Amino acid sequence: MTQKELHNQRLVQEAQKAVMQQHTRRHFIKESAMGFGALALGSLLGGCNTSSSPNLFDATNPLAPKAPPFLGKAKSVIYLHMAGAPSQLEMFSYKPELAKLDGQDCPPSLLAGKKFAFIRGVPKMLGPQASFKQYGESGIWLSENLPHLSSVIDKCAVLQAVTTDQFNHAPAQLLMHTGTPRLGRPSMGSWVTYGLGSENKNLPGFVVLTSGGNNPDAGKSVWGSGFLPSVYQGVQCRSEGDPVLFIKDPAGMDRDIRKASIDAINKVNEESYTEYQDPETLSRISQYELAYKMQISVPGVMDISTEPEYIHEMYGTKPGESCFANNVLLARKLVEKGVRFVQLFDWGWDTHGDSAGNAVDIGLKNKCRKIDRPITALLQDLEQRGLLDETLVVWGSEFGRTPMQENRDGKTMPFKGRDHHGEAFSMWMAGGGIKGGTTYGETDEIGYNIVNGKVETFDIQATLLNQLGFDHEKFTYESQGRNFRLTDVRGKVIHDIIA
Amino acid sequence: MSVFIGRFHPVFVHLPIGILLFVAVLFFLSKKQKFANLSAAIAPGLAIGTLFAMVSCVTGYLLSISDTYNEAAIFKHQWLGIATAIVGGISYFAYQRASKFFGAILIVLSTLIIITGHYGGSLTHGEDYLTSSMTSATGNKKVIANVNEAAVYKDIIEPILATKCYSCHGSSKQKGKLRLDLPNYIIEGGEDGKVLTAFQPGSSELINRLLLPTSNEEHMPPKEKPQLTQQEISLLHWWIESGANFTSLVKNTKQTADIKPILAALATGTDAEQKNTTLPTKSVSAISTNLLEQLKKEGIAIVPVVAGSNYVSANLIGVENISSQTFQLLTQIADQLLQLNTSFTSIKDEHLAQLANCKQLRKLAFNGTAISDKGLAYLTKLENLEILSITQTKITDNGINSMAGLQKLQKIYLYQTGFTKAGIAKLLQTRPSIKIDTGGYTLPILVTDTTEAKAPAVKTN
Repeated sequence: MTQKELHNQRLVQEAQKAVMQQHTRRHFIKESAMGFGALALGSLLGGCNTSSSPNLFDATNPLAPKAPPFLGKAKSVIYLHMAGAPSQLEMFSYKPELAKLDGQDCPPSLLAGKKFAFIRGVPKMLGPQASFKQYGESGIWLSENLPHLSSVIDKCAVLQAVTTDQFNHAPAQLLMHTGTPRLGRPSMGSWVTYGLGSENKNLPGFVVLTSGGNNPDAGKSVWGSGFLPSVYQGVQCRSEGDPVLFIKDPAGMDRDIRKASIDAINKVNEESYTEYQDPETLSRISQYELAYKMQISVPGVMDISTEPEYIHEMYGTKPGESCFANNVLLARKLVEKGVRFVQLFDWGWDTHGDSAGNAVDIGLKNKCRKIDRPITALLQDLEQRGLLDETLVVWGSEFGRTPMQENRDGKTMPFKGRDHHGEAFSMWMAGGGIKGGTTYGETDEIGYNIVNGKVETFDIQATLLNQLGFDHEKFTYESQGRNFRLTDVRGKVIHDIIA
Repeated sequence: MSVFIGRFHPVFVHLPIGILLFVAVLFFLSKKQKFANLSAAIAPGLAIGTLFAMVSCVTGYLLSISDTYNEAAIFKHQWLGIATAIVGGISYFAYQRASKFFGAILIVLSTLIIITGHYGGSLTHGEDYLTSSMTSATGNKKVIANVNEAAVYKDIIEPILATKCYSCHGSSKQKGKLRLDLPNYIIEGGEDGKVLTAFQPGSSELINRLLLPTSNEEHMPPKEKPQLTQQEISLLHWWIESGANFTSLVKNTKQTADIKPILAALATGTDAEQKNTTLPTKSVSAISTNLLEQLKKEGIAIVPVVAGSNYVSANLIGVENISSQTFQLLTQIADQLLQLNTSFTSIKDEHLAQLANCKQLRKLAFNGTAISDKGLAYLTKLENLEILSITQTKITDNGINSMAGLQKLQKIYLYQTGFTKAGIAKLLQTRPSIKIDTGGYTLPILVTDTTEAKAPAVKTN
């Protein structure tokens, strides 16, 4: 046998081996026994499955716009998440009694049986580090840290008694966005784009924008699609440079060659689909097509430099930079173009008092200054474009902060800071059929525990789905043999804040 | 244990009903020569039927002592049930002895079964269960002619309780030892205590139970029973908030902004909730699949406004080249089209001429387009239009004022158009209820927008 023959023989063997590896024992069992068994079982169980919502996934056009089960008020959502947990006591929660306790030892009744992230021993109480006033016709109390938002507070419904059972950032963020503190469930935006699709076929349905220098602690899972088809995961865009990395055609490749190569890839994928029938392959094909269209449409919509000067002044945006304000303006542009769910994460709110930047009287003030103007501009800009009625804006975080000053490892901190506090914190919603100028829920005199109007993370999710036209108890997806809900077995719609 | 056995009453009770009535049928059939052989089944039928009648009596008794039922209502059902079992036994012996009264006894037995069954049904489903379907057809929604003169409890609250609560918390049955059919019982509460705290709907179980998610076991009414509507809950809430008075009139009770439209709706007998939606009540045929295909090919996103509805909204955002062909297609769905968004497209004035026939349109947006007053003039016949969004266009006062004739128009968005204050004032003179948003909001530049708080500048309040 010549060297060449030997080589050819080996090639053939390798090819056969590759085919055999592709066709595993799993395939064999699945195709033979499981096929018949599943057929029989499927017909037997068919009648039992009536209560779950049907699978809305159409692999050939996964983002096709769909009707909500009932008439929703909102068509799209802008969700502003301040990663790190801003202090409610310096922003929304007015506690004059706490000021009187400033510097005193925390009474043991507040510490008994509690577990804190960093506080050890007996901490001192820390009075509010900002002054409060009442604003708007509704007379909602707001701190001096939010001078702009106070002018539009009558558009907002403030939830004063949100609660979570997680006291570390990552699990708390996952709980807020996916309904469980553990990994693996789809995020709110994924559920919504799965249920409603998107009206603009040239843009992704679920866009994520981050600012503050870091991704949220829970990582990309907070906009992941979990067990939903991967096409519904959030598409992270950048506000600086190319909005999506490698979106430009490389040098020497024109649009025609790009189109030809994508067509070729899709053809190969289609062949793979006919052989293996994996719906993810179809998702991949449609993703390639979306990517091709996005190369044209995304740079256009993501370019804020074309916005007029007065808009930049209103939002406080600086084209070319990467900042929260730019992301807020982008969010408005995206919603205007029919994007279903825009999720903003701003990192850097974890005010423990370990540095000036993390002090509730210094760093927190600066963070507030960076969000106050753009968020206020967003509400006004949505209003004047006729979009606020159909766009739900949610502001919040994963938890709040303690009325006690943090004493990490029992030592005095160099700056004034507060520890993680899940029992009670503040959030707000506006637009999208929310009754503006309302407050819901109440905490005790020092903002430590809830007195009434408790809102769980599941209630936020239930309300968000309700505004979009879903009953959170009936909006399910079958995975691993059972139906899953965003709100798991919990959640009630907060009717008091709905117009 | 006795409770557990008692709960089997509804299972056993249907056996004697079926078996004994069937025996009666067999007996009268067997009188015909053709069916004579059926008579063989009569004796065992009577024996088995009677046996189950006795089992039903025992389980029924156990159920009656474990659950809370009205004694008077139970009395009839109980003794008629026992009578049925006895007459069943008598009929068995009468048949064995070939008594000539056997036929008559069977008729008595059948009658007893039917009457007993009726009382049993009334206990479970409520006294008016049988007839409520007939009364509701003739106008279950009572219209209150003069709401202000009406009594809050007697005319508004009591009817809600009567239709949604009495079947389990009324004169015949008191689940949880709670009766809601008379004021003194409502005040008294049930086995878990008071259900009503005047002025405090938040601490009244009467409200809290309604607001629990239906999946919660404590939710009232139980999820398989008819639920209260949002308005009914609001009315109950309002009644308790204003003191849960059983005699006061509507006009003497403080009315919140939320409750006013609901009270007004009571006067007309309409559903306040329905009035706020943009969904027409008239049913309409579905758009043909062929037409839908064509619209889709054109790039128009057509979505039903709500799942299962034939009414749709259309979004032209994905249409690259808008032609009169595009609008030709839209005129074909004029009956179904409720919302149209053509914002930021290449739509031109002449295209709107074709929209003139889309009379169902509730919401229309063409922000950021080349539409001018000329185009807007085509829309004066859109009698159902509620929201018009024409921001960032060349539209002027003339165009805006041509909309004055649209009686349902509620809101116009005019940001970045050629409007003048005088033009808007003129429109508002004829149509004061229209909300106009002209935009152009600005935010003042504050010192804090451009400065940073620094460490040495620490201050305490």
